Amino acid sequence: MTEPLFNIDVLRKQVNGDEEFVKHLIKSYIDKTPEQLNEMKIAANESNWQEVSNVAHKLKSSAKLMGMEIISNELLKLEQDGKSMQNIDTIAARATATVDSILKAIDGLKQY
Amino acid sequence: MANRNDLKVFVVEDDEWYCDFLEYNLKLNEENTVQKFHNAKDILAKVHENPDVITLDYSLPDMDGEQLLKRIKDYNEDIQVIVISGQEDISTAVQLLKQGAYDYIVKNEETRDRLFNILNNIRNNLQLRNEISQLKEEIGKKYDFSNTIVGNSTAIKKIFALVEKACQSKITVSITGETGTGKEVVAKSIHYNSPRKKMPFVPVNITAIPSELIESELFGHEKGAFTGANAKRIGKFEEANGGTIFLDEIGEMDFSLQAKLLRVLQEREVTRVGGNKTMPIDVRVICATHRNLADQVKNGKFREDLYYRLLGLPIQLPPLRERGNDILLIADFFVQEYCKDNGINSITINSAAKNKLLKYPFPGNVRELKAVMELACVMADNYEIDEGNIIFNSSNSMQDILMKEMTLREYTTKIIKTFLEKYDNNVLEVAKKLDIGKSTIYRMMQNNEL
Repeated sequence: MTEPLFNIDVLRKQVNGDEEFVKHLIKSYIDKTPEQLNEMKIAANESNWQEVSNVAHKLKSSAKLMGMEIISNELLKLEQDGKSMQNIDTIAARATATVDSILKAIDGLKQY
Repeated sequence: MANRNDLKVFVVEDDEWYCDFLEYNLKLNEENTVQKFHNAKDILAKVHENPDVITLDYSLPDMDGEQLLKRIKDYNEDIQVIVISGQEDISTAVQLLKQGAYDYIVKNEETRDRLFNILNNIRNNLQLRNEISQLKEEIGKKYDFSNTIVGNSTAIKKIFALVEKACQSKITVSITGETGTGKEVVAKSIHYNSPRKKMPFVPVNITAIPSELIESELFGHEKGAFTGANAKRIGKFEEANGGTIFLDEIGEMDFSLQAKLLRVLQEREVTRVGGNKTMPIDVRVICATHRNLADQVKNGKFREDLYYRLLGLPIQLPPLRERGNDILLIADFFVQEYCKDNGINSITINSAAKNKLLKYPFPGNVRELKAVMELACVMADNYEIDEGNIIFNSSNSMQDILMKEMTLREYTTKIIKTFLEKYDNNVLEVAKKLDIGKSTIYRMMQNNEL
């Protein structure tokens, strides 16, 4: 069994279990994230690693609080690699994969 | 301002999602008011609203965190800035803390709890700060002219005008006047009505400190500078930095120390005893003496260069006996003060008592009047001070001397002796004052009568 992409309990804990606000944050995440994912895709296509790093940085904090452990670790690596120009050969592929993971997570989040 | 617990918090965060998250958590405490900003431009446009706290995302689209922190701190140092960043970079954190950030936290699962702790600390800090500024304000009020220097005689009105001038500039002030005329009171009211009022007022009485200790007392000393100096100590000048130092009885200062003081005043820097580092200081000097410094200079007891350096704006306080009706105003002021301190509604002074006060020369000036009035308040029956309640204890009172029934010769000797003491054995001056021939005095000296 693969690890779940997100864990809402992490977020719940961060807002004292206020279900209503949890729902608000989830909705807001679903609404606002795709735009950034788009930026990430474009940057990866254009081999603009600095921009990949910037977008990864922005996506990271919310991902962490959504309990997306694997994804946020992946974002951290993208941020670091894009900034320091390391492991460049795989960045584009990893960026696309991460975008897909987040889209999948968003699909899952929609049932809340 | 009293007891305020509410914090005005500005959240600066370009990630709207995270911004909502922070706002929600900050608002859990109902005492917080929160405003959100998504870029540097918007926050800088609102910084004049002086929030208590700004949480600052390090990476903003239009300005980096370091620059923004500097702009905020330049505008108002008192705004506490908490940097919240996605980067765990120690060197950045250290750099920001050095530039005045209150704290640096990383965005993770613990951000919330750390933020709560920090806000609590800030809240406590602000409360303390408010308390201090309230207390300072109270002190300021206490030393307001109208509450400290009482009177409306021509003599004191001249003093009011001078004090007001002194408040507006940084000029050194030298206050002279008989004992008890209120030299320290005037010094304090100059300080607490000047732009320096928020900084310390440090009084030093030169005569109250043993001469061998005065240098380290004034300028401080380094550890091991002399036997017994087992810790570093800052001196009164450093303590008064930014504020005012009041050097009372400056006329009694050792000649050798006068040279050091002159250096400090001229160079505006101090060197601690046993140290070799000079420290720049910005201190306003007010000095006072009951002696005539010009005479001291003539007699070679006070350095001339220091005299001119200290003279600045001279304020000569009139003795109480030359202030006419002020005696009654001040007497009444002390009676009111006594009533306030002791929870009494009011005590009046009857006209016989007033007459007695007006006739007395008050050699101890205002200080003596204060003692006399306090005693009178205690002795008064039915909340009215009568002639009999005014009791003068001054040992110099003419009445007391006459009561001793000495011979005229003895009286003459006593008078001349007193004058010689007063004028530092300056025979010519004494002869002039008493309108007698100087040879009379010399003769008495030769005959060992003096």
